[in-house]
Amino acid sequence: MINQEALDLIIAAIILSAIWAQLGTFMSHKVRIVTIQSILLSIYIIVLGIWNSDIELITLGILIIILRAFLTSRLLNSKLSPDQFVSRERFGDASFLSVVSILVLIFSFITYRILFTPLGYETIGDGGFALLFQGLFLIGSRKSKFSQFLGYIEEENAIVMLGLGIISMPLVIEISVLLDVLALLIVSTVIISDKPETQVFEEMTG
Amino acid sequence: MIISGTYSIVIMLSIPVISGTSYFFRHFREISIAMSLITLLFTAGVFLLNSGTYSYFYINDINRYILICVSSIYVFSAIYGSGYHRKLGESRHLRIHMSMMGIFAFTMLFSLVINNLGLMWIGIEGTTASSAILIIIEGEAADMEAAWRYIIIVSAGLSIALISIILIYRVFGTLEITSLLSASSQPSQILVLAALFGIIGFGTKGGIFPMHSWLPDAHGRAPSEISAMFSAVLLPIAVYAIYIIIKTIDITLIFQAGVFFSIITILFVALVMASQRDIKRMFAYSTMENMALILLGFVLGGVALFGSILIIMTHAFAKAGAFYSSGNLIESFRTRNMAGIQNVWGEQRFTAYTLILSTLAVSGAPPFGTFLGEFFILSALYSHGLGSVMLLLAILLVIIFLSINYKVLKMVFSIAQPALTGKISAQQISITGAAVIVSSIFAFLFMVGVL
Repeated sequence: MINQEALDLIIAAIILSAIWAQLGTFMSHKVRIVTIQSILLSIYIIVLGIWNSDIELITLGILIIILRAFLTSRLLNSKLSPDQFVSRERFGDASFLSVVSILVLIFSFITYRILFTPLGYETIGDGGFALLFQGLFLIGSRKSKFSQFLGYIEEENAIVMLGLGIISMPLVIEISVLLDVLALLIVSTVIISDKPETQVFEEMTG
Repeated sequence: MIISGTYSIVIMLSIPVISGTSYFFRHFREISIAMSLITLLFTAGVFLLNSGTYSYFYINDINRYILICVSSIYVFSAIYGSGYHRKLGESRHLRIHMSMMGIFAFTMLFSLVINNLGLMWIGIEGTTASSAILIIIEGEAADMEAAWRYIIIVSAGLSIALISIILIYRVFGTLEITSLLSASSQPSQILVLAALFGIIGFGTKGGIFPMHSWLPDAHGRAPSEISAMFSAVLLPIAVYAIYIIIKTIDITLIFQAGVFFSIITILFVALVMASQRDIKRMFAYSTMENMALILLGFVLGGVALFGSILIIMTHAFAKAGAFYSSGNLIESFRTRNMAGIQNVWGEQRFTAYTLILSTLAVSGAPPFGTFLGEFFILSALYSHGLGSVMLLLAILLVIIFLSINYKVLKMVFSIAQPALTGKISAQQISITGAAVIVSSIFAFLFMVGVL
């Protein structure tokens, strides 16, 4: 019981990190927050793996630390300006964004209960579904390509959580997904470093 | 067979990967083209295999046709690209471009033949990583923006498709495609969710409304040979993934959802087509129309399924021809805006022919295969008791046909001062012609009973 509560606490921390990422303005901080989120997720998976004596889960947890927490943050940081004020995101109304992200959170909790009830309730699945919407919101509400990519990383973390709540996928697929995201990150850094913010082109309308 | 089925597939997959090493060689163009031809040769061998499983791979009567399209367009695009980018000489950019084209072809072929839905998702996601870099060869700011939109929108969408795969795994306990297709399922809320997530997720990659917004940007900004690969073969692979999900979860609500998403996509295209100014964006929207038709045929099944295959084959080559023709015009007139491309008939007679013929083919004019495909799909709608939907679809198809052909004919026959500044290569002309000629043979093959 206490053990389960400890795991639930990790899930709550992951969701809080997603809200924190919505509100941060300094990119280097945001990258750090999402790194912490990935580390929390891997701790959850490794603990779960140890309890269930499941070597696949332990391997997955370790791979998430290496590929998503360490390598991803390193690659993103390498493209950020050393002066944190240069790579600072400017967006409109922080209070408005925080209210909307809380509303999105509540909406996702309710939707999960309605849609996924037949599978039985799992906190990790619920947390994953909430994180998925937070990731999508981060992608949709920002102009900064860094923020959008961090939203995508959150989304991928969410899928891992949802998978744990619904059914653990075969390890070969989990590893391939991790590598795919890494490959995408490498390609993205080329594009992100050129122009860090999305732009509107007249020729790309209509 | 001289080589067993499994080995044929493995070799077919390996050659484009080896082609990726062409970066390190001086004759990288020639190596890329040679490798693409060898890939096509082995794909022809795989095409002749019997339907069934071959170790980790699976061949059926749909993916074999898409496979042959992928390899053929890979050859065409490798040759066209080497002419289109000749000004880049032996630059690093072009080396990366030609190498990545091989990796892109590999990810597409892998997605089609792998007998596991999870690995198929990984292959399709892999196509995003490998093809995004192909969009930015010219390095313009708009290209970068288009590539970024492509990456972020498609990846976000495909993540939703992954939820669908998790749910399918939960219900069926396997991701093996052959097992999924033969398994029976009882309608349930979870399966409905799985199918809807699948349609929306893979539909993002397949250009199905409302997650299509990356498509005109990426097609519009990519070099023409890459636009051709996207439109002709990449998108049908995503629609094929939807087909696997629809066949796995064979319930009425999914049938209705499939019809709804197809019709609303075509309706959207009919509304925006007339206002297009950029020649490649116009053809990109035309691709959305054709993908929606293919999806509709897959959902309806029976004769409509055959219609979809006819559209896949004809559209692949015709749309490649249309994009190659567009590339020739953009290179000559130095603009993508159709208002600036005039008197093509007087200035570039051959491109005028290929542009008109390929446009007629992609918009479903008789006697092209797309016309037959559309006819089969419309008749299947009627036989399913969806007469009003059939009527609406027919009206929308006519609107799109008139919009796209009017714009093309205006470009070809309008009289204006010659504004040509660029010269197109022999490779570009010959490949454009070849693509259009191949696109016109499928209706003939059908009539003589080969297809």
